[in-house]
Amino acid sequence: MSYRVEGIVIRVRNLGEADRIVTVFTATHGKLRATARGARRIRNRLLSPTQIFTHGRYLIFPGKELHNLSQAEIVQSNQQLRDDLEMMAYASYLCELLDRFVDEELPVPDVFLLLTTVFALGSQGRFPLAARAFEVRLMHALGYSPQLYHCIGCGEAVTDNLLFTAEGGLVCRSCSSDYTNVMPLSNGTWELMKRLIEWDVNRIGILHPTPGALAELKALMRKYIDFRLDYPLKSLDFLETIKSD
Amino acid sequence: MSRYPKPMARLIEELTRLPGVGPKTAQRLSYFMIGMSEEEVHNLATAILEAKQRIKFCSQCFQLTEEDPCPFCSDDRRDRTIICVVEEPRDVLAIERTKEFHGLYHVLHGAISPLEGIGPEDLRITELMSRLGPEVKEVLLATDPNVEGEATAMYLARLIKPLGIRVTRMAHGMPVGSDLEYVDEVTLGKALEGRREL
Ligand SMILES: [Zn+2]
Ligand SMILES: [Zn+2]
Repeated sequence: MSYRVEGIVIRVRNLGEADRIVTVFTATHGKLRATARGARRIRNRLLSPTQIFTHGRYLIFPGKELHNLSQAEIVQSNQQLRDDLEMMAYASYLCELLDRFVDEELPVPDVFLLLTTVFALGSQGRFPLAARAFEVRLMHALGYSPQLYHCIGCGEAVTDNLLFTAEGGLVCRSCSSDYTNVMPLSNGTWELMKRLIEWDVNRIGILHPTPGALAELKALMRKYIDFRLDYPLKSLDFLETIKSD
Repeated sequence: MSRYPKPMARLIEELTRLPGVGPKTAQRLSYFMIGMSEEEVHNLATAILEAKQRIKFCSQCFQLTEEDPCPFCSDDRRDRTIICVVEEPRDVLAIERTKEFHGLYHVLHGAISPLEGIGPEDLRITELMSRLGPEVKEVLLATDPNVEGEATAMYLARLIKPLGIRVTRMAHGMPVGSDLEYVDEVTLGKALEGRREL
């Protein structure tokens, strides 16, 4: 039986002469992979709705390995994300991160709302914050949340002279030697992290962290995420070559 | 164990490597080839081998060619002040068919695709930059109007504009002969954005 989903296209690959294989991240069914027949033909109805970053509604016919995506309508084309090189690079990175961390057919509704919110924030030119928010909250939503109040070794509360390990979050001075990838964490960045995780996702845009705090958080999260990946992300190199922040 | 005699299984395997050829098609082609006369098979094999041995990339524009430089690059009647940048060798022929362009070409051999790990360093961009001497007045970016092609065009514009060279992009239009109401909103939006005076 066919069913309708609302989702965002996070990956597109060409298939044959005129078809596409799209990965759609949906609110209700998690990540789906489907064939969109004829989607590369100029007059095909699926041409625009199956472009990467598009938020749309799709009709899915279940298949064994790949589903079939037939009707589609655009909810939000997110064209501005494709029209700007830096936004395109950031959005590609977020999609790759998501694709690598979520399993197929496993609904994670919080993450769908997160992605739409972060795309909206990024479209307003705020990707340096939006990307960090996405990283921190994605880890949180998938059960990899960094520990931000207690030492992951001994459980003692830590509030000052903070150290952060990519292995799981805060670590106290005496336990720090038991962990790898230990970095100092400034109080400002610590406060930012807590808000990014705990605040309602719609409020993240209120935050205006300093470039310093964002740079520190970026370095921290890079290690935190790398620690959980078995091979590196492809889209990072390009993002690094073109972005100006 | 293969159901086919060994040489045939090998032929099927080799054919499956071709784009758009699945096991079924490969099997059908193999049966057909085995049914061909020895002379026909010989001609086909020689044609493939000769094409492979004699076709190379033009050292200037990276189009496929038998002669280096290619007929475009060595043709004095072509306008040397404008270079049209395309993704693939076949795109050159598509533009030639319009008979509207008389400048030189440059083939990138791909497009930027962060999600596939294809970056600027994987394309013939350094070679393009080294062609931009004082005689070049305009670079026309004719990469595909999809996300990879647009990203590539934007990336090139960033590099080339500071050199004081005019950078142009193919217009995004409505498919000729289409009905407005059936054109999707993204294409229509782009066409509105690129509207021109009549
Ligand atoms: Zn401790
Ligand atoms: Zn040439």
